[in-house]
Amino acid sequence: MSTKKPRSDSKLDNLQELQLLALRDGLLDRTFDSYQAALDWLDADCGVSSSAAALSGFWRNHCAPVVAARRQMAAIRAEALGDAMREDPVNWDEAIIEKTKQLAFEFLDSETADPDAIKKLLDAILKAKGQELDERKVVLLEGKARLFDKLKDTVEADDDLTPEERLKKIREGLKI
Amino acid sequence: MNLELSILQTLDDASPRLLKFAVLEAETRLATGDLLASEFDRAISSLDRKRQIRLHPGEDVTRVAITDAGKERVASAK
Repeated sequence: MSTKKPRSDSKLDNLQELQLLALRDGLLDRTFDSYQAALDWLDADCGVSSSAAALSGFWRNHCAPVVAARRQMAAIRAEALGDAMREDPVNWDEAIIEKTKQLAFEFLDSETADPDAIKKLLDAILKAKGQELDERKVVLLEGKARLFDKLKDTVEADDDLTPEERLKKIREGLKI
Repeated sequence: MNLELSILQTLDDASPRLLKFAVLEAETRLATGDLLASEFDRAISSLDRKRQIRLHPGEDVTRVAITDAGKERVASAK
């Protein structure tokens, strides 16, 4: 029978299922903010002594695939959000779409939702919406200004109208 | 897996989106164990020189993206 000491990383692979999942999730959600914290937990709660090198191997085998899958899905969802914004009648600016996609990706990619990321996303959308409304107001005001000039020229050309009648006709034309 | 390839693989998973520099550094550190900050910075500089990554300094943080050349290196390593 071999008396060879088991490799430190294989000890981690052979943890009880609940312990293995606790280690994986603790590393993923940063409950263990360092490998030393994870090593201390392994020693105290699982009776397993390990090493930082073994934890790196554990990360590559058990955590990195979870992060990669979540990240790839986050990237796909962010692109889909951008596609939806391009089809929106609001006619979003391409720079805003790009910024929104990046912030959405970072939000979806994080283990825990970061409130700051949500706020930045909403701020960007509201800012873009505000710009859109401002642009519409400018278009409406420019139209009214052109209509006023036209009405003014018309009433001033009519010498039979009194100043009050001219003002009344302009008001009626502008619907004010 | 060598350090540069590990960085490129992490960025490739995020593509076409960018990763925050700090996130990339933290995950590379987890995957490689005892990584020195200077080793990571050297690898980033080397990848940038080879145009396999692109650095995007932003208002708040710097972000990093993989380029087509970087994607080719990841594909050829598989």
